[in-house]
Amino acid sequence: MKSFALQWPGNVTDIVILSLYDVTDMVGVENYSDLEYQQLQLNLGGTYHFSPALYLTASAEYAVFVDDEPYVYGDQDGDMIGGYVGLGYRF
Amino acid sequence: MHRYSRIVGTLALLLLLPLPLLAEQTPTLSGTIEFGGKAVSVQDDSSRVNEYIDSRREDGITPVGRFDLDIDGGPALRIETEGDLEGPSDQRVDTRFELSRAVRGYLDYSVLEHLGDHDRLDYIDASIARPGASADPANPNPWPGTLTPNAVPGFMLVDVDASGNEFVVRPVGGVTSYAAAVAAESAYLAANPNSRIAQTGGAAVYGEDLLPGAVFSVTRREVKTGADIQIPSLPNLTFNLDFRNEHRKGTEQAISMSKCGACHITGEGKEIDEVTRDLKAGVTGKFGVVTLQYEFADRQFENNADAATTIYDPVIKPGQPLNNATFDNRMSYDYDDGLLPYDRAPDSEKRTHTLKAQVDLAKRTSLLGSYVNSKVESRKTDEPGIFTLDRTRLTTSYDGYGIKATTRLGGVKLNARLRLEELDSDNVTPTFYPITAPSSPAAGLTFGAPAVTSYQPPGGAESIITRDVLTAGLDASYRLTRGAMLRLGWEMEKVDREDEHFGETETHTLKARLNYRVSRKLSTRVGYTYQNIDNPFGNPDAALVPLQANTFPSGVTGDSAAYGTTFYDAREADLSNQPEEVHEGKITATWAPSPRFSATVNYRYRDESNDLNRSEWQQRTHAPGVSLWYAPNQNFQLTAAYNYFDQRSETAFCQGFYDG
Repeated sequence: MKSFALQWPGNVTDIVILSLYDVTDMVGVENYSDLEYQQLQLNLGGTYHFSPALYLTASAEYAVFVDDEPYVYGDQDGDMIGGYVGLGYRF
Repeated sequence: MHRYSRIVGTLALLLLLPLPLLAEQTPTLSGTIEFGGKAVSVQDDSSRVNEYIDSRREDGITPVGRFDLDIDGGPALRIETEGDLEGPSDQRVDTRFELSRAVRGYLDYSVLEHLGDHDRLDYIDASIARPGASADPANPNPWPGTLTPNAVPGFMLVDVDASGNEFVVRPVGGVTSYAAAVAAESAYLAANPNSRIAQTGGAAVYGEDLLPGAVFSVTRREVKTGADIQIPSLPNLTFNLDFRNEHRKGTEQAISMSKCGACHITGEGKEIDEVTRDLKAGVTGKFGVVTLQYEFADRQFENNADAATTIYDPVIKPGQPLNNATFDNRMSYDYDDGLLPYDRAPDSEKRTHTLKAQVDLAKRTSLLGSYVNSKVESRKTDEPGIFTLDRTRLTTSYDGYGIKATTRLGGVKLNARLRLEELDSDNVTPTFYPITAPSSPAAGLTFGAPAVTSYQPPGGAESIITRDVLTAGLDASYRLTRGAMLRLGWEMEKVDREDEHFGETETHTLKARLNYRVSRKLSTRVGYTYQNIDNPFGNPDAALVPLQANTFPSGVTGDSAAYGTTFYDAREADLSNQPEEVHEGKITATWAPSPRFSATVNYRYRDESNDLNRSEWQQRTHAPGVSLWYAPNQNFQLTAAYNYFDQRSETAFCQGFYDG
């Protein structure tokens, strides 16, 4: 992507301006808007019927968020594992 | 209001309970009941992977109850209800009922906790590293230590011997103790009259998260109930009555900024306690080929939470003593005003009238006309002594006129629509009262001479809501072959804002979609959308003042009344995070080689860009996914899904800060 850095135009040579407003410390600004994250969700579930009325169901979930360029909200790297087991009755 | 929601929910349940007594036959009960437990474990940060709380926020096991019940009492009564109860933060119950086919109603209840954003405020620090104002600018003295854009103390410094080059940070600590810092500095100045105080950097932007460990979340509870009612003696009419009560409670981050001295941005927390209550009543009448519908809706929004409050930093010109009055007539408030409220949503009420008429003609042709009139009133409060408003109620009105036509031409189904919307909002005229300091050397220089004690911006604060929106669209669908359906669409939207600063935005959208069943085992959907947006919403002339050789634009000095016109008005770069061109493609394929197995793959790509005059805004999104379903026998089913989301964007913005 197109990027740009802070720098004075070449025609600005005055030592007062250059010393008072030193922008070389501010080149990090260009990285502030370079955002990148990856998000992954996996789900696996199943149901087993003991009889037409009684069944066992189970599911698992895995979610991961990879924050490659942490920015406004800090490093949001995280992963979650979830599991569910339930016993059901149909009537 | 929470209690109010419970009362409404309880009353609705009490109304439902005796319904089985109305059944003409003994009601039969069928359905499913399920009990279980859901375990959740989160590693590292939960703000994205568990953003919408899945049963619980903390690690552990939550009891889960699910049900799907059907009460069948014959034509006189039928109730269907299903629910999913996963702890106090994740609940849903939906109920539908029907009485003698004359009353069809619903009662829904849901609870969901949502983790809110927590801005760390650690990415916008910047400073101009230079000594105090008393130093010779041609020979700037070095600062003690190293100041970097990400390490700005954001505190006043004390020059212990008024030499301009021996500044000491006093005291060390967070701004949470700012009052103590000011007291300490004042005491130090009193004891050391030759000392000077300067703001760090000379000019600085300093963000500070005062609650770094806080988790902000809002729990939303919603009760919705209503019914369509048919009275036997009025067979052409159907009445409807609907009610919704939404209660949002929790905490959110509130951000404020002090200025003059450093731009000091602080993040704190604020209470959320908001109730939105909707009541709708309407009637629909069918008279031959004509259907008429009228509905009245009333929405009340109440904010029962106390406003966030903050103490702003003292107004101080960098390099000047703490109690200097140089900038007092540039600001309306500062540290001396104590706790001031901010970031509070006002109470409001919205009333809407909707009228629709539809005519069904031969050959699947129909015409639909609609008119919507809506008025919103919100209450505004001022801060006497700091600013006042010329009105305490702000009214926004909406008028929408729409017409839609549907017909068939041969094998082509056509749908055309046209809508005109007019939004009009009151303009507010604020009056600001500066911190008056007639003895200040700068008195009168900001708002003209002689010094003024109040100020009204010319033209007031013009509302950006006021606008006309014209939307026209045409959709066509055509069956190419057996199993192949082609859909094409075009839409134009023209937004004409009264505020000439933002002007007109015109959007053209083209859509194409093909649904194609290749065989009994394989079906596909392919879609493409193109958008061209002329003048998308943005901030024109927002940044980048063109510099002449070795100087700023003429006339720019610290006390110049022309600072605004000669500096700000000279900015050239337009900034926006809205696209002017969008390409989006979607493809989905489902393969079902047997009745016991199916696989679906999908992919979405979206490319958004805005070629601004001095930079380019871009955002690209890739979102592939696959899902599998397998049932080896009637008693066992397996599902699996994989979704990937990749979004990259780059936005140019202006980081402004003031050098005094």
